[in-house]
This record gives sequence, C-alpha cells and structure tokens, in this order.
Amino acid sequence: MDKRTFIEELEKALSVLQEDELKDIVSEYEQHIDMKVQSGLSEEEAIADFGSIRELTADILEAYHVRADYASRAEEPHRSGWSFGKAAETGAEKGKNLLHRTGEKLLHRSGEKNRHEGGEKILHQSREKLWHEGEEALLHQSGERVPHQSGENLLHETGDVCVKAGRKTAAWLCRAGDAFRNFWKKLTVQLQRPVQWARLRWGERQRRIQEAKEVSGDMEYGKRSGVLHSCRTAAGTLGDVCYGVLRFFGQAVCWGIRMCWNAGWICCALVCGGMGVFCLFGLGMLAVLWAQGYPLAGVTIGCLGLNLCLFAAAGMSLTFLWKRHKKVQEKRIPEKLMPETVKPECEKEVQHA
Amino acid sequence: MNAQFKKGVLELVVLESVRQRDMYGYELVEEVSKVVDVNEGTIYPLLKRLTNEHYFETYLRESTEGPPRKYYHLTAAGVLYRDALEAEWNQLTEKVGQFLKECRNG
Repeated sequence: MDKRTFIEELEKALSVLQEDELKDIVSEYEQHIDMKVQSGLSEEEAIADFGSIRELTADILEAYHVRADYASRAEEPHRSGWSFGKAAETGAEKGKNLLHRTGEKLLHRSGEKNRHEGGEKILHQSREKLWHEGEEALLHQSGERVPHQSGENLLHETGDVCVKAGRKTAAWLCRAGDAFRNFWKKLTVQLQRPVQWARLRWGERQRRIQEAKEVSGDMEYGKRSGVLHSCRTAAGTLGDVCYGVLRFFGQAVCWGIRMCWNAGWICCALVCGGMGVFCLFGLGMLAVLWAQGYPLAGVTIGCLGLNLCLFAAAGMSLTFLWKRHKKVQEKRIPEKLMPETVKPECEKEVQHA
Repeated sequence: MNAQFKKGVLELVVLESVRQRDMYGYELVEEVSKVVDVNEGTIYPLLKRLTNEHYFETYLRESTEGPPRKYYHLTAAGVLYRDALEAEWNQLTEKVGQFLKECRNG
C-alpha cells in the first residue's frame, strides 16, 4: 500500500471525526511516513510498520470514545436517514443545475439588460428556494429538525448584535459620566454659595466699619450716641452673629460631606491595596511553581495583571479625594516696593477720600 | 515479549519520555521503540487519547527540515498521572516478584 492509498483509507475510516481533528491526525501520519522515507525506507515499508489499518483506526476512534464500527454502519444503504439525505442532496443538486441552465437560456434570449436587472436575482432566489425546500422536506422525512438559519449566519448576526449593543452601552456610559460630572459641579457650586455669600457679607460689613472709622475718626465714632445708633448697632451685631452661625453651619456641612467622601475613597483604596498585596503573595507562589516546571504561565500572568489592576484602582481612588482649596492671602505691598506707575493713583485716591 | 505486557507498560514509557523533554511524534516513537518493541501505529492513537484526556498539550514548532512539527508537552495533570502509574507499576512488580519468589522457594 502506498502513502496516498493509506491516507485515503485513513480519511475514510475516520470520516466521523471533525475536519480539524482528521487533518491533524492525517498530517502526523504523513509526517511520520515522510521521515521514514528520508531515513531510507520505502513508503510501503513505512506503512507496514503501522500494522493493520483497521486496528489503527479502531484505536484512534477509541481515543475519541467513538465506536469502531461506526463508519461501516454508516455505509449501510436503503434504511438510514443519512443515505436518504445523500441521495436527496444529489437530486437537489441536479435540479439546481437544471434550473440554472434554464434560467441562463431564458436570460440570454431576453438580452443582457434583463440579466443585469432581474434575471440573476430571480435565478438566485428560485435556486435557493428550491434547495432549502428540498433540504427541509428530506430532513423532515428522516426525522431531523431543520434549523431556520445555518449556524454560520446565526453566529454572524449574534456578533453584529453584540457589537451594536457594546457601542450603545459605551455611548450611554459616556453620556452618563458627563451628566454626573455636570451635576457634581453644580452641586458643589450650590453648596458653597451660601458660605461664600456669608463670607462676602462679613467681609463687606467689616470694610464698611473700617471705612467709617477712617472717615469720621475713632473719637468721633465713639462719641456718637442716640437710640437710632444703638438700634443700628444691635441689629448689626445680631446680623453679624447670624451670618457667623450660618457660615459655621455651612462650613460644617461642607466639612462633613468632604470627610464622608474622602473616607469612602480611602476605604476603597485600602481595600484595593490590601487585595493587591494578597495577590502579590499569590503571584510570588505561582512564580516559584512556574520556575519549578509546572505549566502555570497563564495563571501567573493573569495574577500579575490582577495585581496591576488592583494597585491602579487604589491609586485612582486616591485621586478622587476632595482637597480643600487654600486661601490665597493678599499681601500688602510696602510702599517702598510699589512701582512708580501705581503711586500717583494711590495718592489720588487718598486725596479724593 | 508478551503483547499484553507491552501494551500495559507503553503508557508509562510514553509519559516518562515526554516528561524528560518535549518531543514530536516521530521522535517519541523512536524513543519508545528503544524500550518497548511495539507497533508504531499504536503510539499515535495513544498520544491522541492522552491529549484528549488533557495529560498532554501540543504546540507547533517550526522546523528547518520540513513542515512545522507538533510537539507534545506533559501537563500538571499528566505529571500526577505518570507518578500514579509509576507507583502502581512498582507495587505490581514488587508483589508479582515476591509471589514468584515464594512459589519458587515453595
């Protein structure tokens, strides 16, 4: 038996297996025969070393838990659905070809214009319809269920649906992120507004008092008396107290929210960091086992990736901390250092006052 | 040698050979044939069965002498299975040897 005959016999006996597996097995035997031939033997001698091909294929099928006599049972004629299907397939193929030839002749007679417009379409549709109807009828007769679509089309459609769903989800997440960011900005501005307003009023109040003192003099200001002035003074003091209280509560609320926010993110960072340290320990163990020869390359790399993710999450959590903005203190520039262009303007203001 | 003996020990020899170093099919057949004189055709189905049972994993490596070769590598499960087979083999040979010795001595 030569190599080609052996391979054909092997393929026929192992036809029950999947195409990938069959190709894999056949390529191994082909390679073995080629190497035997290179070492000096003939193809027949190399194949003879394999023994009986029947026993060989039985052993291979046994490795896949398939009955060794499956192929011989499949060749039984007349009664099996598989043979019905095969015969019907041949008949349908002939019918398809006949229809194709008829269509070609009709289209040729009606001219090239019809071919481009509708002939191909009609031919294709009728051919496909005939094929599917024939297949459906025969398989239904043999007792098998007919799928509406082939597996390949179903997979393509499923893939398309998944891609579209993924894109929609990503777009929604981006919009949600933007909306949350805008909401947070508005919320922080709203929360800080009463505090800023109270601060502004307090500062303005203090400035007016200072101006009044400068204009009328300390002595004059102290000498003023009267009920109206007392009422105004009391009201002013009460207002100042209220402003102070409001300011305090506003600051307290902001402080509380900030503390809770920061505490939450610090906890998250600690949890992620702790899990990262634990995973680092696991990574070390896996690396040692991998070095000893165990096939743990994939698991080790996965653990390394998990480590990096956890540490990155911990770092990212810390970036969300709400930091208090430091006040920029206005420094009064001494007159000596004041630039020349500013001095005349200051003098004018003093004269005007 | 009795064919059944050879068939029984073939699996252990194949596992031990691949444990030493990764091998491709032809190389493994040559190596095993030095130890156990078996039909070369029986080794490939054995390799396929051990691969399907996840005791081996395979990968392709380019070769300068022809098409890429499929190499067999022993997995962690294969190592454990091989150790179990060796333990069983040692136990069997010890017991059978002891039995034959006792029978010889009467």
